[in-house]
Amino acid sequence: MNPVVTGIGVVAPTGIGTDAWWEATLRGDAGIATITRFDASRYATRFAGEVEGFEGTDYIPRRLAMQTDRWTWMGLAAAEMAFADAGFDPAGGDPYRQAVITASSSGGNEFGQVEIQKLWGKGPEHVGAYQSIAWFYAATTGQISIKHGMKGHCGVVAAEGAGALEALASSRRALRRGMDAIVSGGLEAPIGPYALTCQESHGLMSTIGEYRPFDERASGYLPGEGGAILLLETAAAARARGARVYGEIAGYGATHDGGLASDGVQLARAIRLALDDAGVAPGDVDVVFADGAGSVELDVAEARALQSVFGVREVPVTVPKAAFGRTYAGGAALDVAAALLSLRDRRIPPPINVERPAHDLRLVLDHSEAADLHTALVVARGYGGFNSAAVLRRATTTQED
Amino acid sequence: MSIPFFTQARLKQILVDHVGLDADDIPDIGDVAFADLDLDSLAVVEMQLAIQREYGLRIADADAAGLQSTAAMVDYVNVHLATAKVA
Repeated sequence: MNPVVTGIGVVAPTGIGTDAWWEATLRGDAGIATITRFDASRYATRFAGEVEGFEGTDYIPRRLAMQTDRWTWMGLAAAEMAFADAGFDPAGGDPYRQAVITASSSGGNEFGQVEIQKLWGKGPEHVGAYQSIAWFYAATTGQISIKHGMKGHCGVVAAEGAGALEALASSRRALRRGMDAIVSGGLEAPIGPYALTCQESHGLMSTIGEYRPFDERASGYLPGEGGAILLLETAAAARARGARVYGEIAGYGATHDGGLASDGVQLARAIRLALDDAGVAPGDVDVVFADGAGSVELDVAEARALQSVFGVREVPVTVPKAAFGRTYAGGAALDVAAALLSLRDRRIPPPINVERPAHDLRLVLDHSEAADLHTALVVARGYGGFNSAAVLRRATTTQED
Repeated sequence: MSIPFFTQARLKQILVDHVGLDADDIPDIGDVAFADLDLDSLAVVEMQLAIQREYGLRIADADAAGLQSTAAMVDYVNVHLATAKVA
């Protein structure tokens, strides 16, 4: 049984709300600008994709906002959007057959920043009690679960940029084992002093303020905040309530580089595992939503992996995250959302700022190339060697169990 | 040196500022159980931490569990402020 996606909620630098974000994505709107959430003028990386105008209290009561991080506010907001989009009310089902499995790469950064400044600036007695629940990686899963009474197989997955695909894979397993509905996906809010310091430590971000994946001038990536929540249901449950289905998670594969330099070999293997799992040949894939790390070595490795699986220039490739940055746990969730909407609308969003392609890939540079799309591959990598791939298939009139 | 006097109105402000309660939900006088204000155990801890910081006293762990209403909290703080050593 392949689970289906019935609801999508997005909070992203280029749009709050799925429709706004998707329209911006098709247009190729740019969402990366000088960091404003704090004074980053002395940092090597001074640009990021920020979600302007996002206020937690627009979506949740002040009492809840005070005990949660901005990243959790975004998750709660996106979950509400996904439920509304799906026409799904958690209160109508068995709470022990509903669950939340999200990805997170760094937890509650902004909340933690304030508390750690109090700790070292004023003393331990100034650290608030809510730090204990606001910072940790499972906070967003936990708060969504509590708010909506979803008491089944819950969890959080940390795999950096690959996290959201891993969360979807965990969700798929849980749905095959008895869950009816799972809130999945991932978000990140990593734009703050200590958070940015952590990100700068690996040297993969651009210090010249550019994020051009697969471009001759690739100099690293730029970070962003936000992500997507996807509501997954069993095909049977979706059918029973007459839900509108975006598509199915048809296949999944994951590997790890094992501490060695990423040369694309394990990434190619993850892709092949996903294709095999979906029962799909490389020639059946209509579009690839690539990871697009944006640094030369990592781009070379991904290009090699794609070419080894698909051949040279055989399949259209895009990287929508070039418009708003790498959002870590949000990245692959937004790619899955984009892939599903591409399949729905039969349009492929372009990777912006890629003007001089460097790697013999069939990048979709024409403005939202129109195509007949049935099957999409999403590729996601995480710092440390994570490689994940997922095959998505457009909803058909008869979804088989 | 005057001893600060803790009132229910002060406690209410702490609940508004640190727990995010609505001022309208808390009376200025009288006794309301924290459970009736929908405060979970972490909210009560957060409130007690704020009181400790603002009034420079320590609420002993053994006492904390028994302080479950606004009047109990106000009385406890005032007793401890009155008996605290003056510098």
